[in-house]
Amino acid sequence: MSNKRKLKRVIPVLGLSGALVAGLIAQADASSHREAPLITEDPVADITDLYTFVSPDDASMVTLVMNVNPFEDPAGGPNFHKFGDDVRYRFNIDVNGDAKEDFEYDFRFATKVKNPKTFLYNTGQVTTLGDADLNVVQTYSVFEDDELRDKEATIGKNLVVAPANVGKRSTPDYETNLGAAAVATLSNGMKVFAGPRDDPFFADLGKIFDLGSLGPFQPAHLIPTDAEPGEDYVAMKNVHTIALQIPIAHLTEVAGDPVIGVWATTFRRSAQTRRSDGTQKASGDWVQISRLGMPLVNEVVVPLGAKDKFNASRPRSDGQFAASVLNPELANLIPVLYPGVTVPTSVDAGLGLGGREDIATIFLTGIPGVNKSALFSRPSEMLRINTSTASGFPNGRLLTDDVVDVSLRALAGGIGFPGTEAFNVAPNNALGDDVSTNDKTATGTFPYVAEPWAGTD
Amino acid sequence: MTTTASPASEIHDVNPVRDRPRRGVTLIGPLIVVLLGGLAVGRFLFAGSSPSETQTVVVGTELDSLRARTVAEPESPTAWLAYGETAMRTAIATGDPSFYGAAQSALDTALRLAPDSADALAARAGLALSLHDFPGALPLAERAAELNRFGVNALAALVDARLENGDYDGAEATLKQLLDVNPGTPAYARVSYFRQLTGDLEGARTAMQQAVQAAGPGNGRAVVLGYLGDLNLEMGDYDAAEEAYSAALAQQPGNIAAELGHARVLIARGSLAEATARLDALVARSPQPAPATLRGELALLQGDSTSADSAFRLVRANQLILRSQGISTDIESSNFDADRGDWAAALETARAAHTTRQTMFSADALAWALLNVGRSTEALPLIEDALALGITTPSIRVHAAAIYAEVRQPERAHDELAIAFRSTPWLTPSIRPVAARLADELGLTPPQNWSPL
Repeated sequence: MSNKRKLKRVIPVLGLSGALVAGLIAQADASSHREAPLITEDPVADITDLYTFVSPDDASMVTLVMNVNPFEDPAGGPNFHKFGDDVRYRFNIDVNGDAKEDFEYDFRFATKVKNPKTFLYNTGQVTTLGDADLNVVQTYSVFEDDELRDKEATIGKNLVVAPANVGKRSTPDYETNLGAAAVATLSNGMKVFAGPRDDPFFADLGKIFDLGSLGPFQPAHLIPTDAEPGEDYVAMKNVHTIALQIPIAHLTEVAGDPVIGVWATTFRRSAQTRRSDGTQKASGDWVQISRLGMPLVNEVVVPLGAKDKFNASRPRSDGQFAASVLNPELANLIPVLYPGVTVPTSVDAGLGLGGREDIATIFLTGIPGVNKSALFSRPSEMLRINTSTASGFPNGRLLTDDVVDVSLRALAGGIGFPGTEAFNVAPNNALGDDVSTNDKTATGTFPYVAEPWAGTD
Repeated sequence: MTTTASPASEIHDVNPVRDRPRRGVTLIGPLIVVLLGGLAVGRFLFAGSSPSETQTVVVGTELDSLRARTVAEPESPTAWLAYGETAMRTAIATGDPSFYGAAQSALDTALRLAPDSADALAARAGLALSLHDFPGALPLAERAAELNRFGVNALAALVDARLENGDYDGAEATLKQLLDVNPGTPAYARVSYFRQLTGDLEGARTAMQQAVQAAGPGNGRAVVLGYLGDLNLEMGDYDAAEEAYSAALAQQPGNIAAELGHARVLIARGSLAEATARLDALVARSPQPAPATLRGELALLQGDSTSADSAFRLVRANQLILRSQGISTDIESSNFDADRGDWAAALETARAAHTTRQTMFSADALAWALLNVGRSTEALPLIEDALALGITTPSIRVHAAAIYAEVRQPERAHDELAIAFRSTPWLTPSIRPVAARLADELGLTPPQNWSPL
């Protein structure tokens, strides 16, 4: 169902380089036709999911989780997955409903190879983060820009990224020795973590991709097949996680509303077509190349063909996407794929816009009484959470939330939004991909994301 | 997964795609399918003899599924686009050119249903470039970029189309636009190429290193590592070239650019026997023009004219097949004919190329052919066009030196030859005697690596 998922998770696997055909008959010297690669996959800068929730073990803290680098195969050696040293990762937070960045948290990474003479990731058993046998070490820094207090500071330096979970011999007792050990508490009380984890997302991407044939409803499909159980296509895959835990009061006390809006962005540096000096490497400006707030945003918010524009845009300008939110592409596809199923075409939520105002409310304004800021002034797409009530999609997003099912049902009018009562019946309120839990259980302590699969699993 | 010299049945074994579209090649027979496949894949995107089976299987499954979608939703442009793009990727990955036909008809259908789809236009432009229809690619890419000024694919296709049509200023402007919206591997790799065209090899290498760093693992990274190896080789840094080629092969076993690069490094180091063995294996697996040409030239270096003739016959056969598929081989053919001393043929194809579009490479090919049929005054303005952006490729600089010498501008000739001598002459046999003669005339001493091996 999810084009976003399709693009972000499936194509990198199928990509076969994604590059264009090579110079058919190019010669290395004076090649007359040189095709540079058309690789649109950029996995280390590709944000697959964003989660935001009040911390289950500390109600005074909110936890933000950004996952990148989809479909990591745990057995990645000897070149195990890393964050991009050339990428800037950012959490953006709006605390006063105006869709502007009131807080920015930037993560930058640097890789050090202790012994460049060996290609090995580790030269012996690794039992601590500082182990001499860990040959490839990535460290990071965290920078905070607090616009409301007009303060900018580096709040963490030389923090160590959790290494790969190579296997029982190389990395015994991974979680105790290396995973949990990589959690750092900063002097301001915030906690940070960066490293590989189990991908907490779960979905039947295969059947979603196969014409939106969502289990267990295949027999009702346009091209009927026997009912098949759902299959989690991201089972036994890792991602790279950046997690940040912030005291809620630090975010909300200035503006005074418990609702915050969160989105994640990644940036790469521009370059010059011609060098002005012989030594410069990457002197260009940082350019935003990816943006993610709510899950499934491509189906619901982003108009057809405008994915690139969306990724380059900022929430404050999201009014430009309102028309497609009011007439979501995927909602229109449901009756086509499932003849006989009808979905709402117009729901009045008091916005005065017409069309699916229920969807616009969920994605662009926040739901009154749930996660709409009292200070709201500008429609924008972000992951909103009321930090004073229980977390769970669409009020923030827990690691365990079944966002595929919830989103499908919301589009079909099956979640009980006021004005959609007639549609809140089967199958509309039972649509789903028949995959409802992850293959690993979220943990009870920061960063909550389950430990990564080992290369030997 | 393709370019083995094995029968086509082996391709089918590893490529479980049903109901594959075909395009007349069955008449030519399985061997030709393999031959063409190798050609069509070209030097950069060759999927090796030991491909990741996972990738192969997924492509087959996806292509089936996408094809089914076009049947279920024949009026959906996105369905046709997805199928067309994947068919194109499959053509690249498998080397089976019949997928190009499927890609073309699917993309044309997508465009008929959605004439204003930037993605479909960009994909169709990319296909046109792959098939060497450079003038045809340009309006498609222009329209795509006009419709989606944030589109990486659209802008990248326009950069490529402008470069291939000789609009270097326009290409640079579009490249800046691409850098402003998405500075990733596609942008960095094109910055590298643009810098190379301006003669800034060091800057080109820096940008290609950025492209490698930003590339995802797998075949995509192998492509840019191959380019990085080529740059290192051209700069005479054989160790760095070898390292890049090895890294490319680690990302994509069998990557042909890297295999070819390794052979060049061996030649540059004087390990001719080892290079011969390596090239023989490569040509047997993948009888494409680039390895076959190098194999023939290596044979000439070793005085083995029989092997050279046989390699060159293979190149000509390949060119004929490509032309029969409507794929232009003009500049490459002209260079090849020139290197073999067939000046009439070289002139005719270079003229045709330069009439279609005026690039530094078409200008160089035409200038060189004109000089060698005794028309040096016509050659002069053309070679000046070729050098306008500053490219330092040794063969072009040697051509320039010869033309300046012929029109009695010995100082310019001297300067041009000096620039050539700063580079590594690894495309050697035809250029070295010319360079040696000119050096003698102009009183220059060729560096050690330009001396006959």
